[in-house]
Amino acid sequence: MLAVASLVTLSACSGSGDSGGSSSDGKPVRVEFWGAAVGLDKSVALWNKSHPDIKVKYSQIPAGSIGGYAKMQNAVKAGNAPCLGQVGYDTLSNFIATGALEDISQYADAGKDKFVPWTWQMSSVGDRVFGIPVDTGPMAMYYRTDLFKKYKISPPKTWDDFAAAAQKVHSANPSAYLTTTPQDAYDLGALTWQAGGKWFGTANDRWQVTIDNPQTSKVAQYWQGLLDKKLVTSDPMLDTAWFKKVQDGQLLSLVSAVWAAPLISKNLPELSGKWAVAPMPQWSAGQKAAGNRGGSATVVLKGCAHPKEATEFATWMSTDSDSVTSLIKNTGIYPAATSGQQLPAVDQPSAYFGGQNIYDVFKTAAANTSTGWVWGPTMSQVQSDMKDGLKKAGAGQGTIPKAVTSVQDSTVAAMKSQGLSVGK
Amino acid sequence: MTTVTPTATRAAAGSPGRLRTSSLAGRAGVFAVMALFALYTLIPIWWLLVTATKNSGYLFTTNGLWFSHFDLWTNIRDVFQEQDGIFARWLLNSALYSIGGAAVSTTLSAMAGYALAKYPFRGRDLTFNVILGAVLIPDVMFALPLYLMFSQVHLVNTYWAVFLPSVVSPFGVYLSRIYAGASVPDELIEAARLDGAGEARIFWRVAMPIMSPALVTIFLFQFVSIWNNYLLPLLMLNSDELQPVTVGLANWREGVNQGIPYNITITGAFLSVIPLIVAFLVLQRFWRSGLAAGSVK
Repeated sequence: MLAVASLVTLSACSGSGDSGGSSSDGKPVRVEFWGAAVGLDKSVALWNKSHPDIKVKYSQIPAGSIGGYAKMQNAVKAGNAPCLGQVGYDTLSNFIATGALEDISQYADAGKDKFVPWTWQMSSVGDRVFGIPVDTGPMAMYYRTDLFKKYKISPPKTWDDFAAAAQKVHSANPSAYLTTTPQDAYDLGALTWQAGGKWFGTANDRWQVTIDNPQTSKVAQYWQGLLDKKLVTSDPMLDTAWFKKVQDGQLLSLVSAVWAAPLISKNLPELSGKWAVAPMPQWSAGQKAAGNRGGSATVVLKGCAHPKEATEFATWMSTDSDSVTSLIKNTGIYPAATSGQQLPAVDQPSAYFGGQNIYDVFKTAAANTSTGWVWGPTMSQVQSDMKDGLKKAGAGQGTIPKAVTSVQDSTVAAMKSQGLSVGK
Repeated sequence: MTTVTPTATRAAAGSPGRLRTSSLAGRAGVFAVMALFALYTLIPIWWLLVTATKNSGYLFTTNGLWFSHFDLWTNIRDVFQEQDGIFARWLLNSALYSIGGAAVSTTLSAMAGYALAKYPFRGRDLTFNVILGAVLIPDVMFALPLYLMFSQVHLVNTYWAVFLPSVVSPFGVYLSRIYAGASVPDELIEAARLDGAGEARIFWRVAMPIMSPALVTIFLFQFVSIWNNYLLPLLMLNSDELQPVTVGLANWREGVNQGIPYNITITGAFLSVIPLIVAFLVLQRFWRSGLAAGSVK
């Protein structure tokens, strides 16, 4: 679908039917908002109740991966775009590169300090701000307490400990594994992020692509080592087969983001009380670095007649305590606003996780996620190439480091073919 | 597939001994291939049915192809309660787009096909070839240009945005023309004219009944393709209230992280294929004769 979308290069015409009206004649300003997440409408309703002068109209559209992004891009081309849209951090660069976003620095800058620093950086390019952060996906390690006790292992502090634990589990029970290998670009990206590497950057108005950097290589070789010794499986995470294997005690842990918690508790209700969360294993003892997987921002799309009011709503939605509480409860987000991370809804013990306040771990992780990470403008290509490479590596045809170098090359080629200037 | 048996029989006709074995082997081969295809199409539906009867606790932990705890009714109730009961609205929208779109499209196809088959006029073959060419272009390719056009006339995000493109069916026109050409005799039309019937009356009263097997085929084709359409409504419609069930279910599947359980989406998917199955079963007889007519003549 994106391919179809990019075939058409119409210039964007301005003006948007539904966001007309102005505050000068006394009528409320109307701002349209397209989002894919379930429950955003509840926050919009709260806003409309307390802000009679700016009316927000919310439309639930399909998620980006199944056509939502193409829909927004096409609407910008056709001049029908709403003022506001919900876009994942990984797709922001693509929207910026295609000129689909308004620069909202002059309205947004005041809110900068309300957010976890890396999320703000993620929504901007240099000094230009293109979105207001909504949520994040800080990472940690989920593990089965009962099985860790059975195999006499404690939550690994370092990746070396993790490898030793994988060895111990598999020697004790040949059909049991500690975990599965990274499955896609976002898994591998998050692990690289934790290791301090960077896949993309910009300098002198040119893109820099460094997917095959030393940190990614370190991560790739580490997992290839575990795979070679058959200490981990290469099956997908969080799908039907994964849940079944966890149920049967064949998989003991998962390194993933905060949003995996409700997936685990809802789909494996009978394992209540048998899970806990520990910080991600570290590359050197004593560190606290974490990676991030997922998260999104509210952006102002090109042609919006009321960028100031739109930004005002977006900032409110991400920071107001009632709104954020509603987003946590109805949408299942983990807030990007620092105040949001103190709210009772994400700061209480969970019975499913044996009474542990798992959010302590995630809050620390969010605060220890480095700020330099940048996603590239062709992430759907990166994701599909990386998935292919990692799947082959999992099946024994090729290796994870080879997948990394081949994605480096294919990404540079893809960006050049889209007319983006790439330097090394 | 059906041509295999007669060919094998004819080839072996010289020796009666071989006839039995080879036709038997041929039949067995054909049967095996057909059984394989049947399994290939039926297993996913069977899985869907079985899975729709499970609640989330048993979804992943029991055999996917056999029943465990029967919670179908609870699941169906949950489907209709999720997001303030919007699923019923989606089904209704799908029905509206599919039945309305297929009915209008079938009528238009019949008219166009009949006219192309029975009225000689300048540029008739050119017109037909252009329509034939359009059969080769996948519907998906039209979605974006249509969206840009509908944007200009301010029809996006209305029922019309999905309904109007659905009434056009190049394949329907093609089939109607072939069928009308082969099955509506010119003598019959002449006789009707001599009896004083007008052209419209001849079309409705004489041609339409004869063409009905082909028209049922066209109706079913359009019904299925509109029911399954995804990209067009996705682009055209912004409001959740206007979406058909395909787009709605895709949204739910992506909403797993936001607390829409898998079993709701799966049961919803199961419910959404029932109308297709019903349509096929009811119109099956016409469907078969219509397909054969189109392919032979």
